[in-house]
Amino acid sequence: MKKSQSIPWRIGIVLVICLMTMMIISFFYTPFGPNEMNTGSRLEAPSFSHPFGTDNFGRDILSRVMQGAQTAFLIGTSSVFIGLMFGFILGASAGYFGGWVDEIIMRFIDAMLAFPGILLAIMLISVFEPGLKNTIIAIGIMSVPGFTRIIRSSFIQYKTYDFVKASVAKGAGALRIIYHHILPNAFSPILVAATLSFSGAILGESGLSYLGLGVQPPDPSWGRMLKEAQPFIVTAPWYVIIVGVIITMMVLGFNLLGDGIRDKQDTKA
Amino acid sequence: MSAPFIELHNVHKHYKQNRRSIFDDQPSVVKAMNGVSFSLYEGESFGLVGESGSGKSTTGQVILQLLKQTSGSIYYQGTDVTTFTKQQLKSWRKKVQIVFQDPYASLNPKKTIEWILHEPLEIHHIGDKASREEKILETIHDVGLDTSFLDRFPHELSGGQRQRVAIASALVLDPEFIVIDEGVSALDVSVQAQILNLLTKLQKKYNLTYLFISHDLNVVQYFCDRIAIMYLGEIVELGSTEDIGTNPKHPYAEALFSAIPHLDVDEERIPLAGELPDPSNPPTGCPFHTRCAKAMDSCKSVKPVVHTMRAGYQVTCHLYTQEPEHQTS
Repeated sequence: MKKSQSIPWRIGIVLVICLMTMMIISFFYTPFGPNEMNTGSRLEAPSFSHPFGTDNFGRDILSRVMQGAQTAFLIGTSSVFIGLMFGFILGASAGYFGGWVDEIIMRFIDAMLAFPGILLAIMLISVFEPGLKNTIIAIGIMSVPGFTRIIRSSFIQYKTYDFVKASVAKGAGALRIIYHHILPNAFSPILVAATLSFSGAILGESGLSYLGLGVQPPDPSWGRMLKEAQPFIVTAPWYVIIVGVIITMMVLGFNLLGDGIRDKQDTKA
Repeated sequence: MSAPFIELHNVHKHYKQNRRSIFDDQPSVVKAMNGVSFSLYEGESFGLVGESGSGKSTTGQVILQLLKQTSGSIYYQGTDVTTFTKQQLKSWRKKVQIVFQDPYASLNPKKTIEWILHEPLEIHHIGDKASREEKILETIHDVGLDTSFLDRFPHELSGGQRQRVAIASALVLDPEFIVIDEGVSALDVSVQAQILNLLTKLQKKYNLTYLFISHDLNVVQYFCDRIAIMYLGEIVELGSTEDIGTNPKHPYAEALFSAIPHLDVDEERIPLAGELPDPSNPPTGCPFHTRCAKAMDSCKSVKPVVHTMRAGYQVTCHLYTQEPEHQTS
């Protein structure tokens, strides 16, 4: 137990907790209104009253970063939920039943994987319309193939275990086997996949918003802020750096967390 | 003897393997069971012996219908279980159970012992809360454990204790027949003896019939009333433990039994040359002829048939079906 408290895992926990705290505080308090413009103080450098400076409309960057954390967590959680839900249904049926069910589902997943994820998301959003809801759906669908493969492989792995066979020999049905015997054991790899997919979702959202397809103005989103900061990269470098660092912290935090959970799992007998 | 309890009639189990390359003209077939027939009688311990890959575990799982046979019939007290509907199969599963080799893999690591013992009763909706609890207590005592184990998880138990739990979880349904698939092979010799004694005790108490699958001849000789020896999916010799143990007929059986070390007698060992042939491409004729010290020309082309030497003793070998003058020494 002592050894498994690795340093990356601790860094991940700290980063994620920091960002989560920031998000929770933003529900009750932000130093300025996130969308409150003040043309008198455009592109101000970090100062005591604006710790992260202001943007090209004179909005407080700290407040917008805090508000943007809400968007990031919302998109991360709900798209992972969507991906997990469909990934579970597809992966569990493919892994448990095997045969032609497996064949059909996995060829469908392969077809999905043939598209680069972000391209698929762009396509979906262009067909519908840009916005928070469609971004979540697009990123959720993007993560379905990954979840399906991981869930399928753990189902295939545990299906051959003797305790599953013994339970079949005692007359247990498919649902009982899946719920009582496979799922509790497959929980950890699925959790790791979900954590890693969470950071992928945030990165995806940033990318889409950067392209102008994700969250629409004036609502703050990290990717969108990065896009807005781009023209001022020379005159106001802190804007782009701060937003970039925040996105990196989030993605790194969840990646380290996921790796940490996986390492903990490996050391367990 | 009375009517057989379980009867296998010419059972085949073939596994199709995918073509290894596009140049293979047809997918290869592994015949894990190639026309296996034998009978089990009520209350006996029947040993199934063979090398790894000989199809003995497959046989056990096909009898329990955990694997579907390719062809053949299996009669359980006169009814053909291969034709059972899903519903019939489920209620039949109460009567037949299996105990696996690896006690570390045969218990769900996330569940307590009590849950594991409770599950079979829940599946078959047997009894109410109180009677289930009573049954679990009775069973856990039967296998030589006490109630303090009920709240524990499998990883807190030793190999022998786990195997006792695995036996207990097979026993809670009051089965008539248990397949013990290498049930003691993974245990220490001292623990093996304890488990074997436990199985004997339980057999007497509940009138159980065992199919004991093992590669360990010592254990089988100690435990079983009758033995069948399998080689490449076929039974080559079948008879009572005394008969086979003292005077094995088939050259393969002879070689196997000569390999058991004895303290008192200075027996000559018959070494077995080579390895088990590729089961997807078995030898023609007698499957054993490639390694047989007494192989004749006919063994390479003609498949031997089952020859009943006397009631309850059969050998599948040309040495005993042909005229004595054709024998080579």
